[in-house]
Amino acid sequence: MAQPSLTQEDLKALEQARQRLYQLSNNIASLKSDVLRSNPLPQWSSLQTSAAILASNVVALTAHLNTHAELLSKTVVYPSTNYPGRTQEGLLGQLLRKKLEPHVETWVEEGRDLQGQLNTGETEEALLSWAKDWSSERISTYAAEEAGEDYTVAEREMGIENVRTGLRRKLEESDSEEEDEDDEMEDAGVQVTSARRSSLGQVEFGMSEVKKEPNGKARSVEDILRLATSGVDPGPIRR
Amino acid sequence: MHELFLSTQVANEDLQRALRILQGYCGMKPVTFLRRRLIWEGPRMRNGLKGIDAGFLKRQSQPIWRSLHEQLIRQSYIITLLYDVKREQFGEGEKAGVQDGDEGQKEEDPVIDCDQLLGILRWTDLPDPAGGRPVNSRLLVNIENERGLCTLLKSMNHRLTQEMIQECHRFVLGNVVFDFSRYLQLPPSDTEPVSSIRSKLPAYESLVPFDAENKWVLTASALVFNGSVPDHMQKGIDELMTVKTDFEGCFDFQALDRHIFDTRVKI
Repeated sequence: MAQPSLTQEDLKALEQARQRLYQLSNNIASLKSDVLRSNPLPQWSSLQTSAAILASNVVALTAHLNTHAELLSKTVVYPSTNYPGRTQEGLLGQLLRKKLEPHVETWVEEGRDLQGQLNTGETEEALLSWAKDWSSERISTYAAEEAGEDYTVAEREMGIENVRTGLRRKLEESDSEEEDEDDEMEDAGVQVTSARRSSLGQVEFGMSEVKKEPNGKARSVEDILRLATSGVDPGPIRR
Repeated sequence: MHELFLSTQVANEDLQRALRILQGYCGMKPVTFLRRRLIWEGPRMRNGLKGIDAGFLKRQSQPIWRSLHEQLIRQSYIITLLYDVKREQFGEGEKAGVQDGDEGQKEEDPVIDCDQLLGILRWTDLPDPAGGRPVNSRLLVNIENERGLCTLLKSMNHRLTQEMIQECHRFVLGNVVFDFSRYLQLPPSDTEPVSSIRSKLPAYESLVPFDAENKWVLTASALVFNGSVPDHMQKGIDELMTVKTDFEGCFDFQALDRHIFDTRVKI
């Protein structure tokens, strides 16, 4: 018979697995609540960061499980003899249940199917290069033709007034309003961006202002580059 | 080293969208930095140029100083010094001035001495004649992480002619670097003499964009370590042309007239 008790290291490995699972489930819960609760929707960059954290947690967990696969497959859980089995049968069943819940089982099957399809089909590299080609083409179409549009075709068919954008500002304002906005911006100086890092390390594009020169001239790209390269500036504030 | 590059412009209103497109294209978040650009003009002489001080040159182990020296004795050039600055460093002097009470005196005055800081010396040549090449290409010498560059340039009879702030969002994909830059000018200072290196930076809000329309210049560039190997140059050109094609209809990357990037001192 195998060694009856677990060594210190085995316990550590199990404890680590528990902690990683706990962390992962917390991550998922927090991302879920972010998306469900916040209005307007969270920043795109914050969503990307959350997804990246999730992915790295999953990778860490699978790596950990792989390393200790042997231990985990050998480990058996059983109640100690003085456990009140008759009165607490329900809890016991829940704790020791090894078979997956039916809906979880379906997920696992779906996952395995997907993996099977990927493995039998083209290699990952072929998929990546296909995706790169496809997306760069799509991005250029998007940028050339669709970037100015705020709604998808489906949303337009449904009627744009029914779309829940999660945004406070209105999209598709009439021309006159846009003009007003331009005027306001002129009064307020030039709206410019500055990126700063939040506590999570992600970049947020905030708005900050630099002064607008009232008598400033619009310059061509050539002039701007000439200034940057050789400092040649025919402008008024030369020092 | 050779730099290959293409340039285009992006209106300030389109910057956010452009940054997102690049973020997707490069699969990275932009790296944003602010840089002081000090522009120095070489001596206005045709002949008898001394280049870099012989004693200084002897002490340098990097051969790159030698190649810079060889360029500078041939022709007088404009040289740029670059110093990274943080957003918080702007307007620090002013704040200290306001708080100048009893305690304010004891606080350290946030004077910036460029000579004490690690800086980058950048020399670029007039870009090569196009000769059928679809991108701009120029010789470049970049000497990084050096102290005392201002003193060195002064000793070489170079004169500070301009100082500006470059605000830049940078992306990298493979060998290609994408920079969204705009150039901000410092307002005239009451306390510091004209044509001296500023020891304090004014409040960020008081900076004036050089272009009143506040456009951003987008450059895509690639460095070729040895420009005399045609294969390497071709590879760099090909990579930039791929970028140009990828962004067709979105950004109009162009090889501009090479005389825009002329760094030779006019005599």
